[in-house]
Formats: sequence, structure tokens, C-alpha cells
Amino acid sequence: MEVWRINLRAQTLQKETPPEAWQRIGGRGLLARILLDEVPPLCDPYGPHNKLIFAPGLLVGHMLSSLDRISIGAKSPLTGGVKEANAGGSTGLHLVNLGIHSLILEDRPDSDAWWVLHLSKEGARFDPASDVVGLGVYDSAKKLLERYGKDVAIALIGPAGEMRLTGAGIMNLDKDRVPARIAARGGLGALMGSRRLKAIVIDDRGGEKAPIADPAAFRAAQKEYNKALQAHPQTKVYTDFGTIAVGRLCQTFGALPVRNFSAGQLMDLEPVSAEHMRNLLLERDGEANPSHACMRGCTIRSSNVFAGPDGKATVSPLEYETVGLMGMNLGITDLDVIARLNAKTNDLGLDTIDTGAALGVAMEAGLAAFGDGEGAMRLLQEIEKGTPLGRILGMGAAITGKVLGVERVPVVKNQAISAYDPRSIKGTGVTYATSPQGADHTAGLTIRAKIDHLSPKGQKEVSRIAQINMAGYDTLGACIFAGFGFSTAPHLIRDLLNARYGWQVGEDILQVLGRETLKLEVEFNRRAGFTAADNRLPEWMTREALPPTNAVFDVPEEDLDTIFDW
Amino acid sequence: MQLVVYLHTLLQKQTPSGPQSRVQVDLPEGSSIAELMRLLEIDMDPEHLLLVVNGKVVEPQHALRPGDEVHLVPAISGG
Repeated sequence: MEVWRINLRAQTLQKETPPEAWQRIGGRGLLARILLDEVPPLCDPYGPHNKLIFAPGLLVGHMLSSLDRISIGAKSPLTGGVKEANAGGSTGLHLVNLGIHSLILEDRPDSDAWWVLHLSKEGARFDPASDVVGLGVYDSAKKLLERYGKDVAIALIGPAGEMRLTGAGIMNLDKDRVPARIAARGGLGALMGSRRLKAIVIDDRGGEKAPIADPAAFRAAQKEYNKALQAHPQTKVYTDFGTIAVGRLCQTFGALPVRNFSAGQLMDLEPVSAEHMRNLLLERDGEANPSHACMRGCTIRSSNVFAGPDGKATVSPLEYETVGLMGMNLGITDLDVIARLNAKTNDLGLDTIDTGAALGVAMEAGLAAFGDGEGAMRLLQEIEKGTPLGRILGMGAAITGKVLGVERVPVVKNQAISAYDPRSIKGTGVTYATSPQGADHTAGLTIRAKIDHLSPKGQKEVSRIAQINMAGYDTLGACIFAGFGFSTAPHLIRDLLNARYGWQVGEDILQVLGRETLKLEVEFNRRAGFTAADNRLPEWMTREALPPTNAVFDVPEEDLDTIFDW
Repeated sequence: MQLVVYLHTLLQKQTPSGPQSRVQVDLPEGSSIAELMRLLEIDMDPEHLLLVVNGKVVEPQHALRPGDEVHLVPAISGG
């Protein structure tokens, strides 16, 4: 496996053997390591010293169920700190098939021309992107697939990335060639746009599967892992209902994001419940599918294809976070309307969480009424047209709140809070506040913890455990939901890594990787100038009681400041 | 005592008019969640469930009181 280092100014590729310190870490942890080693933490995120890095997780490349995720990172244009955003789909698998340990994109071009970076066994080449620049994500992907063949993987940006809006992510093709697997958070699409890079096409023809040191041991561990995953009752919940199933639990805890985080419960959850969505998709049939896999080999199939009444796909997937931020948060509970907003946001190449949060703030400022789906669509069209208002919204909730003079802005480190109100699930609030990534539920959600979520006590501990485990999974290339299989058989992570690489790691390797990753990330942010003030929820959440629990965020500041002292 | 019980996702009751996620039950006062689960013929290991009464996570031995709102949630760890 090699490091592919590409200079975007000179348009050259240099292949290198990874240094020793990069060989025993992957995905999110590897990104943090490379950033610390090569990117000046005080640099301008758009300047020539920042680097856009693709790092497959340690177990990517074998079509293990839910274990082929790609981590993409840089110094974040949104948070100004360390950034990793990961996605399913096919990008990770194709990179590994080409023998790419990590892809480092350096410097930036001199001219205004847009490019497609093409990677294959022959190396790297830059093709003009003039026919796709300005197009939405769906049309861009279609044209690129026509040009490069249906079997390539593609990572691309939409118009929002081209405009350098910090709500922009990097979209990836799923196994069915749908470009909706977004490395969403932290404005990585804006960074890619600043590099005049519309797309990266990865053609793995002639590539080889990643080497396995002990194939028999790997196969045995894989078999056991699949069995454990299938036996776990949670797998069936996600297969049948998908991520939206967590909505009713959030309703129970009073932790839904309702009307710009002004309430924690809906009067009526049913129109946006998992049970309703499943029934709807089964009734509509056609292209509708409640159990869809985004990666080859995935047996959980928590994704879905949401179709309209005519059975034609509106968007795939429609996930809980989007229903939360672009639905409940906007006072919208019609799944068809939310799906259309989701599709438009995808086409622009934007993060639905930050964009949904920005629209919620805009509604609070009176730019549209809560519940007005057409108004929400009009605001997205402002982004599409690149009007000054659209550009403000596309920068995300933090900028939108500042410009519109709204105090109730749900962000940490400028990144929007996801669909769990931290006043009613305080451990997740600790994660939002302290994660080096900024507010991000995937950095350590605590909703599953058997704890009083309203008490300030014990939240630091549950958040720390969740953050360590999630940083570990992100380093393996694992989907969050792969964790069910591993939770009942943690030795399998050890066995898979030892068989794949010929290592002798112990059963605690997940936590070892997780702690190492967090340590590197915290250090990058420290050098980038972050202080305790950055590790706080917005102050209004410590004062404004959330109905109906009437909770405020009251976890002691000392707990936030000591979470990584272990 | 009368209780309202919400059965999430896989635990919905299959009825001729479709799956039901909200049921009303009659139980002796002080009955535990474990007893409620027996009444509803739910044989899932409580370890794989989140048991929530009036918005708080409880143990299977938790004694129920009239008017409680009970949620039985098959394991789910986020979205």
C-alpha cells in the first residue's frame, strides 16, 4: 500500500511508502496523524498549506459488512480545527483496490480552470471539468459515469462546493451509483472547490485486493463477525426501519430538534415515525425500498430508497438526521416534502444537518414560517442561484445566525448540532461540546446509555467511552452499526486486524486506536489555537429551558475540561 | 391500573388492521416491567431493550404506577 501524493499546482503524482507512524493507523486516526505531521495548524484552511486527504479505514477493502467507509479530512474551513468526515459507498473500496493507503492532495492550482482528477493503475491524470462544472451533483455524476464507465467510484462536489460554502460536503457514489453518500461535515466540499477540483474518479480496473497476512484466520473471523452481526437484535431494527427508528426514542426523552431547537417533542410524531415511513415505502412499492445497502457486502441495509406516491425515487437515503434537521427543526412533518428538500440539498452538495440548522435559524428570523415547506425550498433555491442570501445560508447555521441576528443558534465550533437536543441527552451534549470535530453525534452518541439523561452526573464518563469507541470505529472504516456485531464479540476486531496485517494487537485495540486518535486531534486543535471556550455548548442552552423536560445544559464545566484526561 | 405502553419498531403488535405501536393494558398496581413484558408476550432479552418510563430509563424490576407512560424500545443506538 502506498501514499499517493498529488500536487494540484504542478499536477504531479508521487508514490511513497507510508512512514512507520502511518502504518498502524487508518481512517480518522491517520488523518489526524497526517495533519499533525504535515499541515501547519495555524494555516489558512483555503491557503496552499492545507491538504485534502482521503484515508480508508484499516479494515477497508474486503467487503466486510459495513466496513468499507472512507474518511476524508483536512483543516476544516468551517471549524478551523481538525476535520474528519466519513462516508459509505464505493470510494474507500476502490482506493484500496488501487493499493492506495492514503491520498494527499497538496497545494492549489494557479489558474481558474476546473478539473477532474482521474486515478487508475496507470497513475493520476487531470481532465478538464468544463462540461460538469456548475451542474448539480446528480447530473454531474451521470455525465461522469457516461464518460468514465459505470464501474468507477467518484467523489465529487456540487455547486455549493464550487461556491466555497462551508456547508458543502463531498459526495460519493453508493453501490448503485447514486451520488448521495456524503462526507458531510466541516466544509470539506468548500475546500475541494477552492482546489478547482470538481470530482475525483477512481477506476480500480486491474487493481488487486488488499493483501491479507493470514487468509484462513481472516475468513474465520469474518464468518464469526457476520454471525454476531446477524444475531444482534439491533440489526433487524435497522434493516426494517432504518435510522429514523431513533426518532420515537428521542420523542420519549424530549430530545427532538423541533422548530430551531425551541422544543424537544412533537405534538404528533406519527407522520415522521419509522413505523409510518416503513408502511409508506412498502405500500408505494416501485423504486421504494425500506432496506437498502449503501456498500457492497453490507448485511445490515439500514439505508433506504424513499419514493413518492408514484413509486419513483425521490431521494436515497432519507435518514433520521435529515428528517430531524430539515423536517422537525423546520416544523415540517410531511415526509414527501422533507424528501424533496433532502434531494435538493444533496444536489447542491450540502450537509443536510448544517443546512437544515441554517434554515431553522432563518425561519426564526422570519425569512419563512415554520412549517412552510415551499418557503424552505425557496431558501434552498437562493443557495442554488448563488444570491447573497443563498451564500449566507450555505455557509451553515453559525454564519446565518450572526448575519440575521439570531441568538438561538445550535452550533459548537461553528458546526451545527445534530438531531439530539443536548439539554435532554446530556452525555451527547458533552460530546458536542468537547469533540475536536465540533458538534457531531457520530463522534459519540450516548442515547443508548442506561443512565438518567437529564442528570448532569455521569455524563462525562458515558461521553468519554462513546467518543473513544467511535474514534476507534472511524479508524477501522466501520459504519457505526458494525459496532453491534463487535459489541458482543470485541475480540473480532483484534482477530481481523491481526489476520489482515500480521500484527499482535490485543482485545483492547479499538480503545487503543480511539484514544490515540482523540489525542492527536486534541493536539492539532490546541496548536490551531483552540481553548476551553471552544469546548462549550452555546450559552443559551445553559439558560433556556427546553420543553417539555424543562432541562437546561448543566454538566459542570470542569467535566468538559477534563474529559480527555485519562 | 391502566397503563399506556408504546411498542417501538419490532415490538409493534400485529393486528388485522395493521401493526399497532400504542396499546392500553390493565395490570395490578406495583407490577414490574418484567411482568408487563410477560403480559404482552414479549420474550426479547431485556438487555436488548431500553425500558423507559415517563422519559426515564429504568430496570426490568421497576415498579409501575397508575398513569405511567411506558416505552419498550428494541436496542437502537442512534441515527
